[in-house]
Amino acid sequence: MKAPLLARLERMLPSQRILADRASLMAYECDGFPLERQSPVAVVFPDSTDEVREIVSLCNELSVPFLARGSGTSLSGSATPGAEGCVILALAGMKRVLEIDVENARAIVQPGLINQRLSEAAAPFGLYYAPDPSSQTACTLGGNVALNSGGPHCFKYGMTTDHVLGLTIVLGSGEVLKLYEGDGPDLVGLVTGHEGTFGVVTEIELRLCPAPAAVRTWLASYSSMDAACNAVTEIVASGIVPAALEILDRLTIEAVEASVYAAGYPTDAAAVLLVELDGTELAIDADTPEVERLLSAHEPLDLESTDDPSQRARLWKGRKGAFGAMGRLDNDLYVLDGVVPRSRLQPVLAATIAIAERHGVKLSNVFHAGDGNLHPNLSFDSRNDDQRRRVIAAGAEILRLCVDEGGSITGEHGVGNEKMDYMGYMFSETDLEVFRDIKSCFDPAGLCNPGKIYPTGGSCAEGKSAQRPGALDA
Amino acid sequence: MPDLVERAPELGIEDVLKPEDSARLRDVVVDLARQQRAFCPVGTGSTLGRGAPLGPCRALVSTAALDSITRLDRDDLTCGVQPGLSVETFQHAITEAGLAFEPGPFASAASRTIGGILGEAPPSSRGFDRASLRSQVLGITAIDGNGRRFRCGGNVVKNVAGYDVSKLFVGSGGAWFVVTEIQLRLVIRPHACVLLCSASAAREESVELWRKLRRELVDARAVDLVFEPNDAARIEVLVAGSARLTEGFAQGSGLDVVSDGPEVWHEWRGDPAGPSSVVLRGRLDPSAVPKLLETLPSGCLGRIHARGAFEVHSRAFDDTRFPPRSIVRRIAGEGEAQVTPVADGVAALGGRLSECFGPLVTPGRLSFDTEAGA
Repeated sequence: MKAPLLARLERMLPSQRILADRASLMAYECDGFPLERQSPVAVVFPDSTDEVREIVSLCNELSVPFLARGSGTSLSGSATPGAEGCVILALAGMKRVLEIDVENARAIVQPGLINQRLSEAAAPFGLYYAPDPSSQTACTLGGNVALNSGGPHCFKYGMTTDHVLGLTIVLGSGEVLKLYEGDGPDLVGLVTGHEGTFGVVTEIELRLCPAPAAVRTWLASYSSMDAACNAVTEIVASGIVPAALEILDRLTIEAVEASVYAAGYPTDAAAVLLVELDGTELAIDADTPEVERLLSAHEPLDLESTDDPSQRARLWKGRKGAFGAMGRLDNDLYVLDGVVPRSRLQPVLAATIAIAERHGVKLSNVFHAGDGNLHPNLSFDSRNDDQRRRVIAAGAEILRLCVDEGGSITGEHGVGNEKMDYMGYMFSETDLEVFRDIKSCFDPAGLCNPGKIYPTGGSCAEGKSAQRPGALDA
Repeated sequence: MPDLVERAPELGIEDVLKPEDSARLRDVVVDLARQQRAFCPVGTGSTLGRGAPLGPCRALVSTAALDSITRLDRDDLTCGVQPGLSVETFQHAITEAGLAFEPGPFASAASRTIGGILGEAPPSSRGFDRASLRSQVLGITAIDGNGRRFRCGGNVVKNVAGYDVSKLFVGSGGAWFVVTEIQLRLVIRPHACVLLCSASAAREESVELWRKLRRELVDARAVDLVFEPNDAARIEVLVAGSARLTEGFAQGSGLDVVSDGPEVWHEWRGDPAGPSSVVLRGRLDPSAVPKLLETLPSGCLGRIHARGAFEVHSRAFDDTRFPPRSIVRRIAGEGEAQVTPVADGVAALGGRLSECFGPLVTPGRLSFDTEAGA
């Protein structure tokens, strides 16, 4: 199949927009989730909706599986080939801002545009794009739509789905549809978070937000994780809606402060809490006394606040660079993404520490405290089989715990191939059957990003893979 | 107007089925599916009673007995409700707990169910950022037309596991599946609230002020353009939060204070102007409002929210031309119908989804199925 496929692709695209040699393909064997790898048969670089449609139609004609990929920053394997012989449509070149409509506060972009570039393009008009994954300097908006990405400021502004107004999508069948948020069932909302399994999104209409007139950021450091969590609980209960509520634990602080992302976090603290208010000066000034009272009530080791953009950037540097800094802890990092009800944060955090100790793995925590979205990070060396097994076992146990506590296996990273065997723990076989049926409405041949979200081998148990980190024990 | 259940005989409805719990509801749906009988889920029937087409439905399945709050988590600001819960009971319960449902309250809420409101998805004044109705549903449990009981989403405020099928429920008008439980996001009830209003002025003048305020008042919870009789208009602005915030707004906005106090939060519903022979609902670009004004009939009443969702009432809209990109639905006057046609490909996708869920739940209800969408 490879030769006829490549011959047809070469008739569609210039040769420099096709990769098929072994060395080049190695870079596309996995995304930001390195525990599962699969080489594609080819990587192509379309430049327009028409080219995407032609490639998808060809794949349908030849029964070749395919998937889209942006920057490859997914932490769940969503952009890793889930079957042998996949064609990857690399959309990084489709990165134009097609329109910024200032009065209606929206933008139309291509999917390969880097998240942060949109805010930069909108800034001269006093607008910005609110969802800000930690990887926002690298991740693409197409990837954000595929995974319904979040970020620190989701607490106030919502997830990607709350900002997507319309989509152009090349369905798995090759049909091109334009979907808009509007009357009737929300098809745009259904497609957002599809993890690339419905088709290839080629244009995105996004809501922009007015750039806040003022922003104030606090950094509070505490001698215990409980104190930091209690401060978060009380701020939320007060009715104040901060733009962000983020916590980093001691190991993360140490890694950050030893790295190029050093932000001046106190290394003697058990936890640091970042709180940010944004809006008009009137609104920020109105909420400031209560925020400071609540932060102070838990006896911080240190409490600083700033309105100065460069100082705020410094405080955020450590949080945004936390995952990069963890490269200092070991060769590889397995980033989990469990969610629990906010009121269960403390016991779950304590339990994750116990789980990590029991499995003898290195655990650090950095998380969206306002949303109850944990990122337990397991540092390890993937070349060491024993470490690899222990990390996988610990991760499985932590995500089970999140579900047992009434939460979810993923808050913003998606299921991908990493967690698809956990889906049976959250959902019944009938639930998964409904998901499969919905996918078939968009992708009848099942060629679009196969091997993601739910096991395809029948029941969850049958879909289990001993090697896959998501595999459950029973 | 009598509700749909009361009007069942005159509408040719043969059976009104009232299962007492979700297990019985499933049995009823399975039985109807076995008989290949199309049916329409209803709460109190008040929404559909406006004249929505029932198509081939000859049976109504009432969810009125499913009227409980299944959980209320004040710490996590979430709750689970059954679809037959009355909006009034829901609002009372969450208010007692010091909580609020951000997009509500809703017009004429007393007689309506939470399932009906979400299925109908009326325009909501409080539509900024995460406050839109579609953002409030965290998960659902439902029974589709094949009798399959399924769940999607979850109970927590952040969750991306699996497809967000709950997005298909909001605005579905009861098509595709019958919801038996809904997980909702809540907020802390604001401590202070103030409703501000501009002076009544010519519509064009008020539109200019509205365009300015909706850009500037980023901390407001609602910024509505309200059409008044005699072709005048005014702006209504709702601000909620701390007392310092509302006082600051009241003093600095240049608008008149209409009412002040925490009770304003649930008293101000952003009601549209009132009954009329034809009611249109939809969404348009805020920048297109001046264009719309040029063709709206004289004397029409209504309300346009900050993000462009609207409801307008008039005796007729014969000469009205909605700007490009507008999405308009006629919800009263001549039976519910989609005014803006749906693209063929989208209609075909809707048809496939309908097949996927079993095509017996309110067929013909969605614009995908109407002549306008064909």
